[in-house]
Amino acid sequence: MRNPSYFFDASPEHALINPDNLHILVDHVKCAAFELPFTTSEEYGRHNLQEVLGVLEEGGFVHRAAGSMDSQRAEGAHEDGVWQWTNESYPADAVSLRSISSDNFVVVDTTHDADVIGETSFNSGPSTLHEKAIYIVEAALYQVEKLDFEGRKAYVRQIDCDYYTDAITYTKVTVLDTFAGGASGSGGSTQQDPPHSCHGEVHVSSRVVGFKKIKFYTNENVGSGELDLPEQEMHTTAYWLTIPREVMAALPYAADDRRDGVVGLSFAMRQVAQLLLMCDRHDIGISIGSGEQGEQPDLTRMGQPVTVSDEPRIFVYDNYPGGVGFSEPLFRMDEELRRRTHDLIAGCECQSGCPTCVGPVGNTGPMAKRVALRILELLHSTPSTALTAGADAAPALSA
Amino acid sequence: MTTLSDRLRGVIGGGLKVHGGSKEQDPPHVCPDSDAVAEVLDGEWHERSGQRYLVVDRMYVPGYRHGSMALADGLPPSDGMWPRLSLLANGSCGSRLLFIDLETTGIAGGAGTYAFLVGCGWFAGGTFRIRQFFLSSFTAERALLEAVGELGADAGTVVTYNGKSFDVPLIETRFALHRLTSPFGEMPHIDMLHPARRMWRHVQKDVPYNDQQQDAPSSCRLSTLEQQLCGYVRDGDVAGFEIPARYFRYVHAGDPRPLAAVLEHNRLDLLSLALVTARAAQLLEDGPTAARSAREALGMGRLYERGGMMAEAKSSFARAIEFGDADEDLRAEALRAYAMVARRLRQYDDAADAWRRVLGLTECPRPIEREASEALAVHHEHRRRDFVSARDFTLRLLDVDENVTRRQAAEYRLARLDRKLESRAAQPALLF
Repeated sequence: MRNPSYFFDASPEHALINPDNLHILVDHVKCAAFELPFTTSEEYGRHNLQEVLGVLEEGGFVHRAAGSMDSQRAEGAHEDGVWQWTNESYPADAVSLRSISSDNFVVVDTTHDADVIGETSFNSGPSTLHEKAIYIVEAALYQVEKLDFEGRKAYVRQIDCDYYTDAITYTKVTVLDTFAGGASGSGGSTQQDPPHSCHGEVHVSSRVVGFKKIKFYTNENVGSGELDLPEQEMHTTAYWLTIPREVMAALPYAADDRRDGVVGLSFAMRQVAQLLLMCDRHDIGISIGSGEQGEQPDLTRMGQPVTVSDEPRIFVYDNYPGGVGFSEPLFRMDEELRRRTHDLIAGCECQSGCPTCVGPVGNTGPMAKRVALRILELLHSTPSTALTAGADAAPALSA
Repeated sequence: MTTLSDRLRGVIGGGLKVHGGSKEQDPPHVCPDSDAVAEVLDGEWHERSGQRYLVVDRMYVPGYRHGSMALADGLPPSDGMWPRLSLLANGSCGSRLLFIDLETTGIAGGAGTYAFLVGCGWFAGGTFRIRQFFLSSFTAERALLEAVGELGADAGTVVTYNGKSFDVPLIETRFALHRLTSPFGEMPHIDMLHPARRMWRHVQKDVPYNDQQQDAPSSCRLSTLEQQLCGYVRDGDVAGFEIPARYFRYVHAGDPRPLAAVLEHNRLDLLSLALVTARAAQLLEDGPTAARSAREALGMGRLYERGGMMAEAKSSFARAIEFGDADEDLRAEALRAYAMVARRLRQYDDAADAWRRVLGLTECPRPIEREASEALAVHHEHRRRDFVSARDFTLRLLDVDENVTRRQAAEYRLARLDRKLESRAAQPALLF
């Protein structure tokens, strides 16, 4: 047993939700308004309900009617209007229980007759149903022969093979609004806030650019292919860690190795973040960039940037439109996230990277582990801008 | 930093831009209660518990023509009731028919679907009266329903078109949401859709099909039906799917003009419903000889049969069989119905004749052919004791039936018939 204290000393599990996700909230308000009109003085949730209803009125979904429904009410109620549902549709029909958007892709098996064997949400369609992808249903393997993006259909055929596919997605994150954190952040940062981290609202555009073929059981990479699929966009919330210019400059490594270090660090942070957030790997996304608009990194190596900027940012974003409430708690656990990431990398028995810590060597390069650790150590010793350049003997982090 | 409204617009997306952008150009908000509504829709305001709703009254005199049919042709007998009308209802029905047709804000049903127009029609002193209750603002719904409830309380039977599954449940929901008691819950209900389908579904076939109507010729929509039965073609009628949008436009922008056509549409529906009901009731009154087509005769037979009037049912089916316009399928269906009624009346030879005619058809539907063979096998084995013929029909049955259990039963019958034939052949030898 390697980490008994993780089990025995752990706090009871916490559930993280975001009841104020605008996509979900708007659907809820629509369904509620259909069933019983809201009054013009009613409140619900953290957001301004009246503003939500006002925007719904712009779309013709509701109508603000004067007076009260119940004529027996006192005269005082005359001020109180109601929001009447004024749309033909039955709003609950458009709500999906499995994903935020009710848009989806259906999977059509063409081995014999055309049979629908499954469906996936719109967001995960391109990465799981791109052409040549292996799609697994009830332990049977299917290969995607054609993805009809407009028609939202993927045609698959049963196949016998010994690998699965993993899509390579290039993601670009642009910061829209910083809610908290960051010495230079625009949001209201406080003394207690960690110096290098922020959380806020971001725009994520992602594109599936290729895929890897991974052999079952051994996880060997046995091939790859390129893909050209439409870009998907969403607004969501994110936590991000900025590695200051000074820290990058202080790394005594070549540019390639520095890049590998940042990529490896992001890989390890994802592992720890999903543990801390108690979520699935796919619930969060990782991206490296400057977070600025108009940045166009050169992509070749497995969809990852060839170079990183002078001041790279590692984004851990909620992989759902509107965010589902991971970013703020992750921001609050910033210190634990970094400490555990450090411990994970330092404590891993591998030579120079494996799927448990900074990612397999082939993916991240030979120096990733060492550089990632150095970055974390420098960040720890650099609460602000002051930094002793070229400090080769940086103090080790207390475990 | 984006405002909540901007983010919400992004979330709601789609058609919002059109609406949001045109907001400034919309005409200034007209108060829905202004007299313009009453003037445009030609109605008058009624008030109850401080709430106003619009009532539109119309009267149609006996000379009023709906296509080729005059209202006078559709008036009930002087006591206000066709004696055989109960054949159209499931069970008995009272006098004082109240025809109901709703226009709603959607077809989803449930709390958020409103009946913004409740159209009511009734016969009174040789005329047809229509009273439409228009929901000029949502707050008036309770008052409007109370008024509808009072009108409904005087009625003995409610008559609708597809009202069993749509209009009546919907208005019952509206009453329930206001904790009011609906008068329609326990009231006898004639939903004309079902008898109309029985009698007139295929009438459209031999009449020119209007391109503008999107429905198939075999459908049984009220507007198609009035065209066939009354020769009435609507001019500039509002398409059903457009109706909610016209009401919403009135609610949001206060413009009642597009609703005038909706009210007219509703009135035409009520008139057609009344005349179609009258036509059905008169047919049943006049008896099988009044039927003008095989389908009509067959439908009448079914209605008589359900009402327990077996003699009328039998002659209706007989008439359906004799009609020249019947195609093979329809004739097979009529022969089958005739045979079933004859058997219930214990007129076994009549039944057997009908079954034999089924087998004589050139294109008989398989299930009916199977049924005919089986019935004839039974008839010949047990009643006529003609085992040779019974054996022939059993063989024919095995020819057409693929169902395993039924085939086993037929083979069992065949073996038994063979035994009977053998023993009959052996009997003379034993005697001597």
